[in-house]
Amino acid sequence: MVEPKQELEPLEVERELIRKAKQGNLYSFEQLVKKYQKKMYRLAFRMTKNHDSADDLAQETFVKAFTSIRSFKEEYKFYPWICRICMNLSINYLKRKKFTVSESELEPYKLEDKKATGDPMSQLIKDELMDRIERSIDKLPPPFKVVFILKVYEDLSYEQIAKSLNISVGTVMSRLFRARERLQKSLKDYL
Amino acid sequence: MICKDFEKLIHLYLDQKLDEQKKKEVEKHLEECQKCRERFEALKLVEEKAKGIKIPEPGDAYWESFSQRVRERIASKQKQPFGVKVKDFFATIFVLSPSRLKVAAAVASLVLVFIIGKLYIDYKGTIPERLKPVERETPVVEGPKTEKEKPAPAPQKPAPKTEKKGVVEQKGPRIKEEVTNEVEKPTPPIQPESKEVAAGAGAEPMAKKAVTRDIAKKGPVAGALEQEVARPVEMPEAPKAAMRAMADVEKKKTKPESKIMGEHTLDKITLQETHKYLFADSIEILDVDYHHEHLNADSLRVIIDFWKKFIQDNPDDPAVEYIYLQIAAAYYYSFDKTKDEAIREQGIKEIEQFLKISQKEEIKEELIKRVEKLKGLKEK
Repeated sequence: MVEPKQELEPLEVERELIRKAKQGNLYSFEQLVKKYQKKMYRLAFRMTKNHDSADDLAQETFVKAFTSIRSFKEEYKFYPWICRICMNLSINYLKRKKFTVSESELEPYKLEDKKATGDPMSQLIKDELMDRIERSIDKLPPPFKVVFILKVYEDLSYEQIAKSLNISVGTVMSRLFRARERLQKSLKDYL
Repeated sequence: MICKDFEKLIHLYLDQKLDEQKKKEVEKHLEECQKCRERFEALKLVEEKAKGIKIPEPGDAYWESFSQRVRERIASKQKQPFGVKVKDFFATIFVLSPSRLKVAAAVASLVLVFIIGKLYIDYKGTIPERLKPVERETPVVEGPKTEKEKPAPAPQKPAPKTEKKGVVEQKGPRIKEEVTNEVEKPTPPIQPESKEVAAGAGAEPMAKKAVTRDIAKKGPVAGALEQEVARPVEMPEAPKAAMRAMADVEKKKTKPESKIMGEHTLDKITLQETHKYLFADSIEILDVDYHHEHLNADSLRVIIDFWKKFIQDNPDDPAVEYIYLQIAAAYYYSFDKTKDEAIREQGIKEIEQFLKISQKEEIKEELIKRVEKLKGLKEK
């Protein structure tokens, strides 16, 4: 989980790096990559549920950011901009994935915190619920899924999400509420 | 607050976006309404559980090499040829989605329909009107007819030369056999019965019908002959009506209106057919000889007079140019058979007149040849 406080690093440093990257300085851009790489990877992973795809999408996000950094306006924040690139790539990936699914993508990844603690029965039920929630999130339509992930995992405000996805706050709210409703509906038997 | 109002605010309350007053109202309602409280708890639980889902961490080695891999990727992208960049660009634009697939399917269907339609129209357009099947003969052929009625087999002319001539040439052999069988008789007009005997049919009065049928299939020359030879023959009413109907159909098919129909003494079907071929530019110039060379002088005279009157009556008829050729050929063979110097001179004179007024180069060429032939005959 990423703390929003991390974004409050001195903006001037970031702006300077962006300015240099705009001039073609790859070293400066690498500093930006290092700063946001984990966020991008996690976002991509949340969307794709696959390490290889997440890795590819995260890298591609930075490649795209570098090739079009000249169009970035310095008065805005870098994170929402790069987040939008990552989300758009992820959405496109998910749409394509509907038609082509590789073998590695079919393998479910293992949750890290599935170590048994306490009562094995209650742990089993908990695991099943978590698995079910995860699957339900995965089944959300990409536009809903993006908003839900940005709100829940990135803890972004409505306005930040709207800015990141270049949509209105109303659309953000609508998509978020509908995503929640769907999740609740699909988990009705487990709650 | 009622449950319906709470439903509207439940998400905002969850996200702590409500002002103090609304927040208090919602909390009060949650205390009072168990159903809404359960709903809110479920919603909150889902979100909390979702937050609890962690993702695998790739490890430090992965993060350390990440920026390096990005740099390499950027470098390789920059070296990419333009074509690959364009391909990548379109790959991102044309991402398949249900709505896009629907649009694509609709566009593809339209394109397919257009292509098929165009191919069909093109294919249809390649069949010239004059080569399309002629339906008029069917009723005549299918008229009351027995084995007895069929004319005896006659010596056949050589097969047609080209496909294009198909329609015209169908008449060729028929005309020829009728002429040789009927006209070359030296004595008084031949009766239908005697014609059948001469043809070796050995059948009897059904000759009437056979003649009627043949009239419908012959060219102008044969038509003229029929007028001469088969004058006493009365057409049965049914075939007549059928032929009239067919003639009307053919008249409609012919592009400009012609006054040829029904104004002259020759059988209207044969005239109409001849006129159609003349007008359709489909007549093969050599066929002019084919039609005329077997006729006797009197028949050729009939033809000359008929066409001259026709030109006089219909100077603007689109077939007039081709009728010049008919007249020229008739003069040529008329002189060839009679050796009458007057006919030859008159023919040369008239053909030269036609040459002056003719607009079509191909017609002029043929007329010149005809004049030269006539002149050549004198020199011989």
